Amino acid sequence: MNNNELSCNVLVVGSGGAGLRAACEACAQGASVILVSKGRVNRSGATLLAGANVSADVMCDGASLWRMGVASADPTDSPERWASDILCEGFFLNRTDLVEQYVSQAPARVEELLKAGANVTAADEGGRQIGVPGSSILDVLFRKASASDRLTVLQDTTLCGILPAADGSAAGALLLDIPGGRLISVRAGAVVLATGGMHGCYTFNSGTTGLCGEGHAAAMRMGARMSLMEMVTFCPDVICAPSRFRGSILPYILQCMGYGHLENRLGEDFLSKYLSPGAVELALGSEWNKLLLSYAMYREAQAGLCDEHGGVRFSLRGLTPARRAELEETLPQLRRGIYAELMALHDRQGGLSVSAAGHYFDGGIAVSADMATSVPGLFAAGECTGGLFGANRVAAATTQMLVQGAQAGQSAARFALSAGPRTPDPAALEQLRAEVLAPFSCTGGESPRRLRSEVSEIISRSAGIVRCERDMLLGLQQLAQTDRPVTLSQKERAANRGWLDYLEARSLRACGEAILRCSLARRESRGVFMRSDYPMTDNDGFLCETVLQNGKVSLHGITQPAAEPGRFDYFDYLERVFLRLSYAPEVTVQ
Amino acid sequence: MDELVVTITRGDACARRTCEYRLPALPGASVMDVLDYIYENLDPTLSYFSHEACRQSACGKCLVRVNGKVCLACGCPAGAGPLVLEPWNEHVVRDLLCE
Ligand SMILES: Cc1cc2nc3c(=O)[nH]c(=O)nc-3n(C[C@H](O)[C@H](O)[C@H](O)COP(=O)(O)OP(=O)(O)OC[C@H]3O[C@@H](n4cnc5c(N)ncnc54)[C@H](O)[C@@H]3O)c2cc1C
Repeated sequence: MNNNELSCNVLVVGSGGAGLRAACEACAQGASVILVSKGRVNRSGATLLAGANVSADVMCDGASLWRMGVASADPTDSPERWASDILCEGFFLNRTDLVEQYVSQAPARVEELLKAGANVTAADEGGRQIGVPGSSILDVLFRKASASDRLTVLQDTTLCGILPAADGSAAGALLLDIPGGRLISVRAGAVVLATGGMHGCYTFNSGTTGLCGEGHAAAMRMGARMSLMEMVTFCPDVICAPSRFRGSILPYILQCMGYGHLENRLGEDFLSKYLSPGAVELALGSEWNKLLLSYAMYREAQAGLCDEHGGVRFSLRGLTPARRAELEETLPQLRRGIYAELMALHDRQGGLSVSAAGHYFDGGIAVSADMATSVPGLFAAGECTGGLFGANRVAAATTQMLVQGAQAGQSAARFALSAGPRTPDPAALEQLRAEVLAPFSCTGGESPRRLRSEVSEIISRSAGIVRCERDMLLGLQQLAQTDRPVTLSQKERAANRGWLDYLEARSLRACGEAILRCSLARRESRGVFMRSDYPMTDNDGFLCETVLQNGKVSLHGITQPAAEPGRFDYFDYLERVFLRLSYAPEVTVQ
Repeated sequence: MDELVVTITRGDACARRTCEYRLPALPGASVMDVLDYIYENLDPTLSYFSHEACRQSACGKCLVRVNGKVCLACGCPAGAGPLVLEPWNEHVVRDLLCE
């Protein structure tokens, strides 16, 4: 055995909150664990950027939070009430077993975070949440994981594919050490995918650069079942220019706290052009703002009323000096570093150019409540999974990664320790190696960078905020045409960015095809999913889970008594469902 | 047209050389944006940290020496140049990518 061949009980891929939490749990169960991270083990993924690394909401039912001593929490809340809200927020497509697990295990996960000394920001976050910077969550989890001598960490190492045993179960993975250019094959008793979202599918996104759906793509190549892949959440108020600040969601965080307003390039308020008065209230005063504001921004762009960067203006100009001072007091981070520069730029320009960016992926790898995928030995946790939040996530994804991470670590360790060591099929390993190394022996192919950009441009165009059949069919056709040979300018394997572009393009293409196939099958609009050619929410025809497996989509009906039969105007239905939430303010929406 | 002149120390710890690139001025760009521009348009063999970058001064992985001073490529404004970019430490993997 050498450095290029490793073995362990549990291989965890990804070291955001889900991967770190899974690694902690698997070690605690007595498993030997290899934790692989594409970036820095304690500073990568969306977890790092959660809440713009100022204050990410971490949620738990109010009664449990109150018991933990959080004064702003609502002691009359309950896990059941929270679960029923999550179903409404998800427009009834949620996997109820996952929702139940989420609400029932959230208290334990949040409490351990607090006990381990996570840095709770002073901000009063209301009835069900506390605020913690993403980096503090990572610090707490990494400290705990590194305390175990059963853990081995591989940083700057990317997943190329999962290795099947002869019976098709997961038996390890092929990895690439990025700086060294070495391929590493790992034999594992079980594999946990915790690779986060598919942000790279969108040219404009809020994630870190490494989030390219590589876990999703690897699972699909193993024949895993995928759930609700069409559901993509966009974050409005993401900075589009200047490029130095592009992708920052700070304006969104400020808007959620009630600061700032939006206007088009003519200085006009535009929300009321596209949203009813009730929906405007939800867009400005509730966590349903992501989908409503993104929709309004999309329409404003279609109407040609955006600036030269494709954005609208987010501005704090209307704040009184006292409110502005209050803001800076609440968020002292605005007075230092990159955010101080951003605020200075805002003040010079009177605003910031913002637009809606690919942000959170509600759909993903299908899992049961023990976090097992449909492939034996393969588990998944966090944002790379699908189904918990149905058609719209309002509740915290941070809590999702903690709950699911812990569960996946436990299930994978038990599986690995009872099933014993597994052997990857040598033929499958050879085939994967050949595929991964293909661009080194290809001459006359294209630039991998150009191909990767082409892939994300196609997905952005055809699978954006509002979709239609014609664009999606064209998108699928164009994506298929991007499956062309590439040639690398740099021939050495070490630190070869072109090689990574090739690998990422391959995963992004698979994810884009999955998003488009599932989107085509859903002929309605619901939650974050909107179609111009099917604008109604259709509980008669599409109260169902879109399942993708081996390239084929099937629709599986959902029995959900809370969802009334019928077809509804999308916005009417949205307001109607909102009214059923336990936190709906009774007076605002008629 | 305004031009940005960028000199980059390349190669590994044993064999270093400098390369000069001339690119159009990129208003509002960071040093990371400049490196991306060079990689995408001028020289696809350039190595620097980009494979899992936050681009928001949070991950701390994209350190480079810019005109003699070590800073995060994503957080450092490129300005009008000229820029001299070097590896930030002695443990060079290739070009600007260090261990
Ligand atoms: C800007 C931003 C703000 C957010 N704010 C909030 C918030 O306030 N509240 C909230 O609840 N949610 C928020 N979210 C969502 C939430 O942060 C994420 O859903 C959650 O952190 C995902 O955790 P994860 O561990 O599943 O994935 P991630 O944290 O994304 O981690 C993925 C990991 O996988 C690694 N990886 C990826 N590909 C590979 C590969 N090929 N090989 C090896 N490793 C790989 C990455 O390097 C990383 O370590 C926000 C998201 C963003 C982008």
